[in-house]
Amino acid sequence: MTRGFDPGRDLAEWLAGEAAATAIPTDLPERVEQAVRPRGQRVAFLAAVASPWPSTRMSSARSRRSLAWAGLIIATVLATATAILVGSRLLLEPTRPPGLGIINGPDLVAPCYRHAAVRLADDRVAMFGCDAQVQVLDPDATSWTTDGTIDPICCPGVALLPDGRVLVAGGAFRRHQNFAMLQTAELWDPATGSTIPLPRMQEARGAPILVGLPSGRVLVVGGQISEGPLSSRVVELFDPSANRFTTLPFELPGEVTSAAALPGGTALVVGVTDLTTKPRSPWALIVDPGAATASPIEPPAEVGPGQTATALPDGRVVLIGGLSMPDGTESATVQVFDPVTRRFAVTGRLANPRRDHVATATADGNVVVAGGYTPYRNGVPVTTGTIEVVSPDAPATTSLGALPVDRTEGATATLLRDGRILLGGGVHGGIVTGLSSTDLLIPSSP
Amino acid sequence: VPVDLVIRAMHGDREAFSRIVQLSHARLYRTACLIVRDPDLAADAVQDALVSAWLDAKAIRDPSRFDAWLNRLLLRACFRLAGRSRRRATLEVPGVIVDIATLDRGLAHVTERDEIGRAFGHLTAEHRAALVAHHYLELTDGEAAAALAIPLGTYKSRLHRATEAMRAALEAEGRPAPVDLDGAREPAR
Repeated sequence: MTRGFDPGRDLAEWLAGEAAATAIPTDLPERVEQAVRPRGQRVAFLAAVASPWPSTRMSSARSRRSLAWAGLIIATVLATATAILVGSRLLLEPTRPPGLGIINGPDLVAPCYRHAAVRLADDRVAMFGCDAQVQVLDPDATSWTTDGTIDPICCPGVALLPDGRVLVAGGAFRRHQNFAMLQTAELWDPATGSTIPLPRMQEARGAPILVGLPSGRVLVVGGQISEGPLSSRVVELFDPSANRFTTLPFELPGEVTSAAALPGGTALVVGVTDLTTKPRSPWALIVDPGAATASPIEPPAEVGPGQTATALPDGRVVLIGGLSMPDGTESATVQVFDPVTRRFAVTGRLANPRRDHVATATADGNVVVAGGYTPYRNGVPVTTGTIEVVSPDAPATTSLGALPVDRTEGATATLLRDGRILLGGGVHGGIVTGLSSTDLLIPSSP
Repeated sequence: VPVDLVIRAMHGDREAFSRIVQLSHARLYRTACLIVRDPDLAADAVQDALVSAWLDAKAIRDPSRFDAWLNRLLLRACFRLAGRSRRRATLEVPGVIVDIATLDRGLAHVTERDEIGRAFGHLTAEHRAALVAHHYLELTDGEAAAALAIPLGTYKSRLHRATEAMRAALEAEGRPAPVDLDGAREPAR
């Protein structure tokens, strides 16, 4: 906008436009009618008590007695249902193999899907983007707390900085019934729960991949942009000492599907050529932010959306699953990139092909894989809660039972200092809202 | 709202009140959405305001001022609800399970309007209410002060601070700062 902003003109126009575009709930008058209906005419008493609408006013002794009875009935029903559920779960819960314990973690304050999670310097876990909230869990505590808000309602990229703050870049926000991607970035301070806005990135990016580098800088790749190819081809570098992004002088050859840090301050970036056209070819690059260069390497055999790239303690990177590009089905392939030889090798296969799963490297050099989508059945995507441990040098994985609930669509898995893995949010089959539950995987439990 | 409907509602005429609800709920809802920035909270605020209007209708002193009185009830309800938990524990996913590739890219462009909207969203509910009263409801300073239940001078300074906050938020968004402020409505600097 080249002209200045005039609140008497621009803001008035914006307010009028917003108001005109607001969809009025059709049941609002009926809700009001129900709330003001004389007490003797109230119908569906229990429904009214349970209604999320707050204004059913009852001040008479009769109403209080009715409320008490209703509360007693509801409490009885809930207690019975809980007992049944707990009992059935104890009976039906799959037998856990030795070496893995699964317990329910504390519920999130708000449901999350396509969010991002990071373990903070003080070992707390923070989740970002759950309807624009930051939710924090102390592993020793029993509940999550909200600790500030950020711009995106979902899909941010996050990275822990050397000073303990968290870079939150891109993401999406709701505009009426649609999403729009964000160019914005901010720094979230865990000490205060406050955010500091940063200069914008060059590109708006939904769900960008942020790769933290040993220098403290953060490489930003991929993420859906507003126009053109599905994901950004621009590579940006955030410098925490200057609090700004710089754009590296090259563009990526297509969609980014995954990326991971490599030893020596470089990063592996993997993708396919434009998903909207055929043929689609895999590609792989090693990006050196220090030299501002990208070196093409022989790509892996299978690359596709929903594939994970997990850096191991020894510097290798494991690519797992994803949507296989030739036929569009979920892949079971495990591929390992060796930074010394700069080559990929297919080393094994998952027991369950999957995409959009979570993968977490453990201290012993393995990768715990959980959740995701398995191949379509009757034309419907099928979610899974199965857990496997991938050993990068073994041809087969070790199946370790299943999560209490299937998780996919941006669930997160965070390795805690004591080796436990915290899984949170996501969605599961048939449910179109985010999950608020969390699970703790305890690999060392018998 | 026609005065005769208000008078009938004041005397307990439920049909008249229903008609008032039909006539006013959309305007109230739009106003509440602008202030609380959450459709569920806005609906709650409208319901609170209208229920209060029904319960307190007999206390109306001037039926011709019913709209202003209803605005006041609505703004109070908005402030009360905005002070509660900022977000509802429901994260909606439109329609079906959304794949990032299917998000509407046509609307993903962060436009100038979005910048204004995001800057507006950064304001406090009190500041948004002052701007909505002035620029959307187009109330006079006296009417706005009455609707917000604050003295006239307080309203003027709040409107000024809200405009300044909007300027700061827009600057943070990386766009030119506001100019051509309506000086007639601002206190002397």
